Amino acid sequence: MPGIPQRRRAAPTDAPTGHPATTAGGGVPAAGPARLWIDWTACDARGWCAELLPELLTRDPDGYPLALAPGARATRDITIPAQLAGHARRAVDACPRLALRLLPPR
Amino acid sequence: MTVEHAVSPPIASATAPVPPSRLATAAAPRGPASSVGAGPAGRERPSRERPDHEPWPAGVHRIRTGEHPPAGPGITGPGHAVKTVGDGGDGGGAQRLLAAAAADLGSHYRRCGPVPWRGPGGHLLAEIRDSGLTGRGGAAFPTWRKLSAVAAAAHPDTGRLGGRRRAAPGGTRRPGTPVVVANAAEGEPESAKDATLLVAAAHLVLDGLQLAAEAVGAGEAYVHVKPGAAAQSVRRAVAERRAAGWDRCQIEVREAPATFLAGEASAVVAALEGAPARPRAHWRPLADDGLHGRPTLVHNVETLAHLAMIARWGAAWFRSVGTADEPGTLLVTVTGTVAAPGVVEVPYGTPLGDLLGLRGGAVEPVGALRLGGYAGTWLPVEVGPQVAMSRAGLAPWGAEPGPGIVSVLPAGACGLAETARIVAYLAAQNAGQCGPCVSGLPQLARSVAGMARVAGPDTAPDGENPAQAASRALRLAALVSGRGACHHPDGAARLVHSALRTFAADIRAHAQGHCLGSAHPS
Repeated sequence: MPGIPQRRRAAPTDAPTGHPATTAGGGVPAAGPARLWIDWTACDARGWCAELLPELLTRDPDGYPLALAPGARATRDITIPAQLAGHARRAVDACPRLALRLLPPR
Repeated sequence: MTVEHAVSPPIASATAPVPPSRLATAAAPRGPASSVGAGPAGRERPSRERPDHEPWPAGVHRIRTGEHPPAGPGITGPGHAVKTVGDGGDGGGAQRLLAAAAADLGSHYRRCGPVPWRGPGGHLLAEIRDSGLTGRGGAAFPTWRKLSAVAAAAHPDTGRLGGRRRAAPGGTRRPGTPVVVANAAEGEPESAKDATLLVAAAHLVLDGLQLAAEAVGAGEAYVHVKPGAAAQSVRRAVAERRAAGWDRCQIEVREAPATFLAGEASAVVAALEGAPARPRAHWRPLADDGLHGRPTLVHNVETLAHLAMIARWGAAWFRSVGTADEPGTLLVTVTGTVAAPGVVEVPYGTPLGDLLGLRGGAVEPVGALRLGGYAGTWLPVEVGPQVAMSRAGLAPWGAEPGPGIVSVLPAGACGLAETARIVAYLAAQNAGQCGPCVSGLPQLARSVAGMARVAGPDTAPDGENPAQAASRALRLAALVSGRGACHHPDGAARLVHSALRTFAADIRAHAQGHCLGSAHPS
């Protein structure tokens, strides 16, 4: 619609953004890193996440996201270092299948 | 049915139930190691050449040919005979669940007494925590943690016992009344323990379900059971209890589809909601967000039976057998080339040789063992019969008891061919939901099939030889691990990894055009 700035659809999140009201755990800023959770039943190998988070993700031969850190696959959730939180946030928002979610630290 | 016992208060101390361990020890003296461990400990064998004698069957054959008949009288499960207490087994250790077998509610009451209600609050949880009971469905997760997670999710203000609380994301969500589920879907084709337990002691399991429901304040309870004798037994038991007014929480029996993944906890929840029994991607635990969004507790039926025993006899009694870290007994399905395949109950830490001996021992030289079923781990025969059936005992070989299955592969069979058969089955049983698993498992199955083929003159010149197939399988197994909504791909990868370790000599032989097992005469 012309004239009205389109707000980008944001995927649901439970990760701390730094704002006390939205920080998981009831206002106490989370200490550890957030985790990226992939809904494998929804993922369709579009590849935007690997594009936006090349530090953490690559793509397997079929195009599905693949964690670069060797230990990350064993833990299922991909740990997001604090300096990449913004990029992870963008990857979550960009996923056309809404298959990504940022989870608060354990 | 004879239910007058059920509604009357405890009659007299003369009929007071006796802890089954006392019954068991009276009939079968403990001390399995001294009686069976005649075989020499695992010798170093450089490769799997055809041995003329080997460590495994030594201790095992003695039992088979010995004075004890392999198949005892007693309860018969679907196609499986069950060792019962007092049938002369010399190394069984504790018979607990199977000793509490009862044909109807009346005999269950005479054996075990009434349901030991504990009232709301954490009384039972503390007892279960002290007992060290872990889940018997395969993951061995501490039972009390699951219970307290569900209790905490349902009552966020009271907090969970001994654990930390996590604020519910979203804040205002109403958790709803908890649901408890007894899981006997038993999708693992080799497992018979859940069905056997339900046929033998359905009331014990249902007591456990009731006690779990009471502990978490559940409003309804389900039994998710595979069709057959077990389902009939549960339905009969539930009808008896309903007529007797024995239960406080309504129990509904649902039949599970006969698929490998039907027993996965989130698939159980999906099935109970009326959806196809497929695992779900859930980032919140079922304890927070299960059946219709309610806090949901899914326990294996064996776990619930142990829970009912602990509620009656206490944590100290439970810990009196097994090891300090892994107390109690577990049900084990013994399959493969043994004299009498079936279910046994043994304490944690029982040597594998004794365990096989309880089912009559191996009937031919053993080639390898598989622990934990189709999604389990191959163990080379060199590990020896002294290895303990426990997480600690099996950890050095990367194995674990899993859902309690020991499969014996004869030395005359090809372990690679067997692995190929299993991986093909696992690939066919994937739920068709997650990309890496849907595309990865069939590729993995083709690679393993390539390993199982013996290179020969009919192999295409440009065809993949078994050694190349093995390295491709290794790569594919690493690629599917952990990349799915459930642990199905992880299980297939684990099996393939263990096959590559255990059957390395077989892969070399296949690449050179012959097979170490007689399944592929070369």
